[in-house]
Amino acid sequence: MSVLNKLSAAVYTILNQPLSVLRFGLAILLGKKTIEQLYFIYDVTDNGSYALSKTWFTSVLPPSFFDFSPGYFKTLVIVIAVVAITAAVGFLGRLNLLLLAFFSFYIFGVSEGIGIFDHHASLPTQVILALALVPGTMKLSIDYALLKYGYFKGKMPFPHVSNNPKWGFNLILALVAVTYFTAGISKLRYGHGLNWLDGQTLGFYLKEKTYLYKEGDVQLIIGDSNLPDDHKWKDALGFIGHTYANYQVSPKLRAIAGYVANNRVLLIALSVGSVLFELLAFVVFINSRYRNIYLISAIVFHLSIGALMGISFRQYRFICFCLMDWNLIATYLSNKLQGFKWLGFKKLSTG
Amino acid sequence: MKLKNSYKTFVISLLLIPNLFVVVFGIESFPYTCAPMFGHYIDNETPLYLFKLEGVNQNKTTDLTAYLGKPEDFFMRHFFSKVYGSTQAISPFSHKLSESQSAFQNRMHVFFEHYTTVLKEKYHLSFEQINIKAIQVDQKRQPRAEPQLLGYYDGLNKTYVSAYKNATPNNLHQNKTQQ
Repeated sequence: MSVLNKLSAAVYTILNQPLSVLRFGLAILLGKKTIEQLYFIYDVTDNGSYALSKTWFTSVLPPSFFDFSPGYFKTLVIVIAVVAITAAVGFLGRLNLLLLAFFSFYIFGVSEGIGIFDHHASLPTQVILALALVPGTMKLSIDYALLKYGYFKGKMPFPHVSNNPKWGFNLILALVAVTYFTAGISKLRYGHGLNWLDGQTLGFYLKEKTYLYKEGDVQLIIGDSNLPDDHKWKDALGFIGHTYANYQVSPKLRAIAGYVANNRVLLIALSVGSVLFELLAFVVFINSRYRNIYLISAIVFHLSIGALMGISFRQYRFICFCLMDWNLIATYLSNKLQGFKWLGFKKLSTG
Repeated sequence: MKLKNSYKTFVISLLLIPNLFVVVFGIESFPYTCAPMFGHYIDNETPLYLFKLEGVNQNKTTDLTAYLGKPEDFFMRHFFSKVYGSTQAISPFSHKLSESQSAFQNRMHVFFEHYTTVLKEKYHLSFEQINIKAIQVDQKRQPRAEPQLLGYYDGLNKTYVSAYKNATPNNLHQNKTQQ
């Protein structure tokens, strides 16, 4: 077998196992982010567990889980790093994916209690949990190799490596679609219905320079001047929410954000486009072409938000990247570029 | 085959039902979220506020910004989302599904019990009362009005006293009945 053929076979095998690739990359990304979050919790002076701070998950944990002493902190960092790496390479893979999901529920739950619900980690945590439970996530793993070449001596009684049930892949795709869809719904539900589409809210956030303000002047609380008096009872003002931040500090990118913020037509177009994009999330189930178009749009969407607001959503982008139908892309490329024909891509089993 | 189908149904339900729940009710509790990022309306007329805490001893006030125990934005997001709460009973910033005067009072009590302990143990500070004030500002944090007292925590009686007496959820019903 020539090197070229071996390479082609390897590429084909990898393309056939999107959930294994997702497991490898996402376990590393989420493990890293969880450890970073743990450092953040440890650095906060008052990280005690307020009775009011607990999420549905952290409320079932014993009090000892909230005492981040130096010894406990160091042990946790090492354990999470080991769990993330072993989940990534697939050594006791499902167990370690479950453990990684547990640590993520735990650490980001504590973080929510401190004050910040980290939306970067919400979907990836659920995807890691799904990867631990659905079929087709361990085909490229140390576990699989040990079973195949160690225990079964090369004669696996399981289906061929490329035969993965589709429901696992579709479930993860559904988690992605629900996340985007509900973001669109929330903008209409909590943003005065279709008024959100007038671009004013987006303009506010593009102009926001959260990093400029000193302690005590950072966090804005939003009131509602149209709230009827009989809806107010805690105070005379009627508060409805807190603002989010814009962390972008690059002068060039801030200049672009400023240009957009001052262009009413662009603001309306982007607002309408964002909500439409989010509400149309379930088009990923129509066919592979729509799925690819939507997921590429999602990656561009996050890159734009990252550029204009300094919010990366790297994990989301990686999930979208892995869930694309790479067979379709490869076929398209090999049709367009004759030179790629030697790769000989076959139809993937991921739909 | 039956076992496989049962497992499939179990896993799909386990992962999707909590998501459908938060989507329908519009709430969040990690990792389940209705994704409310930028999900509110802000225009030039929208009033924006900064929350301030100040300790009071014998009519002398101390700004507590430097004694929050954590960065101010985290503290205020926590305070607003989990403690004070939105005027609306269901808000995308927490996981509670209802609101009442007694639940509000209880949360304020629990919060200030903890916070006064933090002030005492970490900063060696104690106060007769702790005021909560709101300052209306513009986006550049320039004040638009005088600070307004929302209420105070009475350290002696360990209760939160609202400065707004016009309506409560309980007497709202009475007011409407009288009209």
